[in-house]
Amino acid sequence: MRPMTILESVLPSFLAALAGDYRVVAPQRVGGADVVYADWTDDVPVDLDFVNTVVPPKMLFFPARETLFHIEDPRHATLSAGQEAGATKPLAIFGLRSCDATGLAFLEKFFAGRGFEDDTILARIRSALTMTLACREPGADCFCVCCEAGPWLTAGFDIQFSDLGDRLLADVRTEKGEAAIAAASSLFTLATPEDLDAWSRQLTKVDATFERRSFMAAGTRRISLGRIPQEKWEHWAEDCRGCGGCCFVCPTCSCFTVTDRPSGDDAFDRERQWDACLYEGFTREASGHNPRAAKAERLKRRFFHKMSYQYIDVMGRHGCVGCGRCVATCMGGLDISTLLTRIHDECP
Amino acid sequence: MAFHPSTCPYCSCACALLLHEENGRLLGSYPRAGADGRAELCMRGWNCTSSESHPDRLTAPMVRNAGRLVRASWREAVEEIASRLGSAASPPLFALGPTLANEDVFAVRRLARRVGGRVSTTDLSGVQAARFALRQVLGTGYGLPNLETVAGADLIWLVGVDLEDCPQVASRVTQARRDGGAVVRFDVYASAGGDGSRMVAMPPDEFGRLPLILQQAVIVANLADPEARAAAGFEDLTRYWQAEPAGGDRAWLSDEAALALVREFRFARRPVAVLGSRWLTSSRAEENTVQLLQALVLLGAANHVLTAVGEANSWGSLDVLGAEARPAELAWREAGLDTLVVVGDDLVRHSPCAAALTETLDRLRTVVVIDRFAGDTLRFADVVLPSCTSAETDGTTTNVFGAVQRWRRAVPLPGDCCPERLWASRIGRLFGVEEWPATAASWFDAMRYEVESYLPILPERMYGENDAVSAAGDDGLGPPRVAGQTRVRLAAPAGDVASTDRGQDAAFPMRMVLGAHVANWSTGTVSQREELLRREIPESTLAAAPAVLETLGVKPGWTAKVLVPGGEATVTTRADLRLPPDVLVLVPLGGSPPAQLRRCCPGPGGRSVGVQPIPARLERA
Ligand code: SF4
Ligand code: SF4
Repeated sequence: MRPMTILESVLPSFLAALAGDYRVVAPQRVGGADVVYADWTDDVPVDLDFVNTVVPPKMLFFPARETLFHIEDPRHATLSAGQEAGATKPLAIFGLRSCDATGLAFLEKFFAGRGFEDDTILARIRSALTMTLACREPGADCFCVCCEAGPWLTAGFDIQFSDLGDRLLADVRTEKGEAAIAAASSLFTLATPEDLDAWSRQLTKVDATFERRSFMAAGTRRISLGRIPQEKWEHWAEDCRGCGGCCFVCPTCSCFTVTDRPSGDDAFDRERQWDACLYEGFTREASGHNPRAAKAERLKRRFFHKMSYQYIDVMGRHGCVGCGRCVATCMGGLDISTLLTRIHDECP
Repeated sequence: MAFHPSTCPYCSCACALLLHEENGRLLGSYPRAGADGRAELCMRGWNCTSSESHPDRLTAPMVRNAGRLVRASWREAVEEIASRLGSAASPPLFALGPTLANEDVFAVRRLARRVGGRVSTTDLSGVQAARFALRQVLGTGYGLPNLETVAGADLIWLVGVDLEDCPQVASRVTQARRDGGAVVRFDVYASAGGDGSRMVAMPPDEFGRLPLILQQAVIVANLADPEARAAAGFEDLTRYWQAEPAGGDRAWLSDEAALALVREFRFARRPVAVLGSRWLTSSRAEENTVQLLQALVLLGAANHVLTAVGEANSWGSLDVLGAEARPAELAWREAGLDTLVVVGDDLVRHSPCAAALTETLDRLRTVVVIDRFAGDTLRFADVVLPSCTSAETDGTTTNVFGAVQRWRRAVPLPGDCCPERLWASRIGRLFGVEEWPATAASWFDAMRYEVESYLPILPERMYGENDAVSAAGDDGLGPPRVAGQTRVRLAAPAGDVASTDRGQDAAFPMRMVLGAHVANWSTGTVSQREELLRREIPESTLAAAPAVLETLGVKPGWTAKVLVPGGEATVTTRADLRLPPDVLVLVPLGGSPPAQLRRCCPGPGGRSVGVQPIPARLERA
C-alpha cells in the first residue's frame, strides 16, 4: 500500500473505527509526568509527544502477573482457564515506539521457543495490530540507533506512523494494517510528494540527533570471548542493588516464575509473575545450591544473555533494543549503555 | 486496565509508583519518574502486588469462642471490642504498626483518647531515636529535604549505614562517588571492601564515643561553624570540651585522624551525613544521636543530615502522635496493662523480646488485632478485624524527607476489610462519638487541624480532582521543615555519655550486630507475603571473619551455633572479609529463632529501644 496521511485532528475517529474489532490501547499520561499504554477512550487525549512509556508494552502481552489456570480440585485435576487467558478482543496498539516493536518481535521469537510454544502469549502478540510511531527526536536515555531498533523501522510493524505536524503519515506494511486503514478509509488520503519529502527529511534528521551511544560491537566481542576480567564484574556488581528493575523494564526480558497460590478450599491459582535474573533466588535450586549466588555472576550472566554472539545466534539479534529504560531505572548505573561504555573503556 | 499513581508503602523513602490494575486485581507496580526524574524502585517496590490475595490475608472479622477464632459479623466484632474496651481495668494500649496511613493513625489516636487509652508505635529502625535527637538539637522533625542532596554531595559520612538496608541511599551514594564525591563509613567493619570508601572501624561497644571525639576535635581545633557559635549552648559546650579530654585508649580513631576527618567535612562544599539503622538501633542511640547531631552542627552541617531510612516508615505516625508515641516495646511492658489493641502490625514477629511479649499477651484480658494478615500475634487475639493494604485505601503517608504523599485506592477491598479509620469510627460510635469524618479527604482535613505542621497542606491539593501527586521533595506538600527553620540548641554532654557497654562477660567475648536484607524487611507485615521477596532470603545468615570460621572448622554456608546471654540459635554462616575477628553480623529472618537473639535496651528517656550490639560467642553446630 502506498503511504497515506491522516490529520491529527481525526486520529480519534480512526481509533474509534478500530474499536469494533480491537481493544485499542494508546499512550496516555498519568499523574503528570509518566506515560503508559492504557485503554483508549475518546475523552482521553492521545499523547504524541512522549519519549517512551514507563514500562514497555510487553506488560500487555506478558503481564507482570497473571493467572494461568485455576486448579479447582487437585484430586481430580479439574482445571479452568485463568482470568486473563481468554482475552476478549485482539489488541490494537497505537503509538508503539520502534524499539518496543522490535522488543515485541524478540519476545514473540522467545515464546515461540524451540520445541515449546506459549500459545497464550503468542496468540496475543500475533493477533495484535501494531501501529508504531516513528520518533521525531530521541530521549536523553535512548540509543536504539546503535541497536538496529529505531528510531524508525523498515519492517516489524503493521502500520508505522510519522508525525508531520498537523498530519501523520502512515506507512502500511501488512494486510492487517491495510484492513485497518480500509475500515476508516475516508479519514486517510494518499501522501503527496511533499509529504514524502518531509517524511524522509525527518527520518534522516532524527538519526543524527542521538546524544547517547552504546558500544554494542565492542561489548559483544569482549563478552562473547570472555575478555572481561572477573574482578571487573565483581567491582561493578557492588553497585547492583538487586532491584530487578533492569529486567522488568526491558522490552526483551522474559524471565518469569510460576507459583501456586491457594484460592479457597482445595482450590489453587497457578500464577505466572515477572522474575529477574538479578535476584538471588532466581537460580537457587531446591537443594539450596545456587549456581549464581554472587551478584557478579548474575550481572555477568545478564550481559552475556543480552550481548553475546551465542545468544545472537539463537535469537537473531542483540537482546537490547536501546529503549533506554534501564538507564532511568538502574539504581547502580549498570544499564546496558553505561556498562558497555565501561567495558569499552576499561577492558580493551 | 487502569493506572493509579501512588506511593510505595514499604519504607520511609516512599518512592512514587504506579499501580496497574485490571479487573479488580493488581497486576504490577511500576516506578514513576517522580520529582527527581528517576524511575527507580527497589526490589520491594517492584513486587508489592501479590499480597492482597495471599492465603494469610484476613478478610472477615473474628471473635474467639471456646478457644477458637470464629467468623463474626462486623457488628458483633465491634460490639465485643467496645465492651472489652469499656470494661478495661487500666488504660488500654493501642499499639500502632509502622505502615499506616496518617489518617488511620489519627483515627486510632482519636479513639484511644475517647476511651482513655494510650498509643505506641513499632519502631523498626530507630525512627524514634532519630526524631528525638532532631527535635532536641535542631528543633525540627526532619533532616535532609531530599535524596538528591546525597547524590550531589562531595563528601558523605555514612554512620552505621548498612547499604543493603536502603537501596535508594546506596544508589545516591554510588552516584556521588561516580561524580568524584568521597565516602567515609563509620561502622563495625575493619575495611570498607572494594567500593572505594574509607572506613572508620568503630568497636560495636564504642559507638557513643564517636560523637564526643568529633565534638572535641572541632572545638579544640577551633573549627566550629559561625552559625554553631551563635547557637544557644555553644559556650557551655566549648567550656566542657576545654575542660574534658575525650581521649583515652582508642586505637580505632586517633586524635590526628579525627582532626583530619572533621577538617575535611568542615571544608567540604556539599557534605552530607547519613545515620543508618545500625547506629539508630544501637543501645543508647538516643543520646548518641543527640551528641552526633551536635557534632554535625559544630561542623556546619545542621541541614545536611539524613536519618533512619531503611525499614523505618513511621515519620507520619510520629507527626500525628507527637509526644504521645511511645515505643511499643516499652509500652506493653507497663504494669497493669490488661487490654491491648494491635493495629497494623505483627508485634510478636517484630519484637526483639518475643518471649517476654508472648508471656504478657498470654496474661492480658483482651487482645484485639486489626491487621491485613494473620500473623504470629493472632493466636493471642480475642477479636480480629481485617484492614486493608495501601493499594486498597486512599490516604497519606509522610516520608523521611517530610513530604506528605498519597496512597490511592487501586483495587476493591476484599471481604469485610476496611481501613483502620473506619473500624475506629465504628467502635467510637459505641462510645457516643457520632461525628467521624466520612471520606479520606475529610479525615485529612480533620487531621490537619490537630497536627499543626500539616495545617498548610490544603486538602484540595492532596485530594482534589487533579490532586498533585507528590513525590519526595515536591514543594508545598510537606510540613514546614529544615533550612532556615531549625532552632539549634547545644548542650554539654551530661553524665556518663561516653560510657561503653562492654557487658564484660568472658563467656561472650564477641559482639554481634544486625544487618539487613532488603527483601526481609517486615514493615507492616505486608512484604513478607510477597513470594519473590520471601524467596530472596530463605533463612537467617550470620557473617563472620573467614579466620573465625576456619578456627571453628566451619565452612561458609555450613551452620554454626551462636550463643548470647540467655539464648542460642543455629544459623547459616557467611564469610565476610571486611569483618574484624570479634564482630559478627546477623541478618535475621523475621520470626525465626535467630531474630530472638536481639537485645532490648530501652533508652534512658524511654523514647527508644536499642537492639544491638549483642554479646555473643560462636560454636560449631
Ligand atoms: S536495575 Fe541495576 S541495580 Fe537493579 S538489578 Fe538491574 S543492574 Fe542491579
Ligand atoms: S526504597 Fe523504599 S519506598 Fe522505594 S521502592 Fe524500596 S521499599 Fe519502596
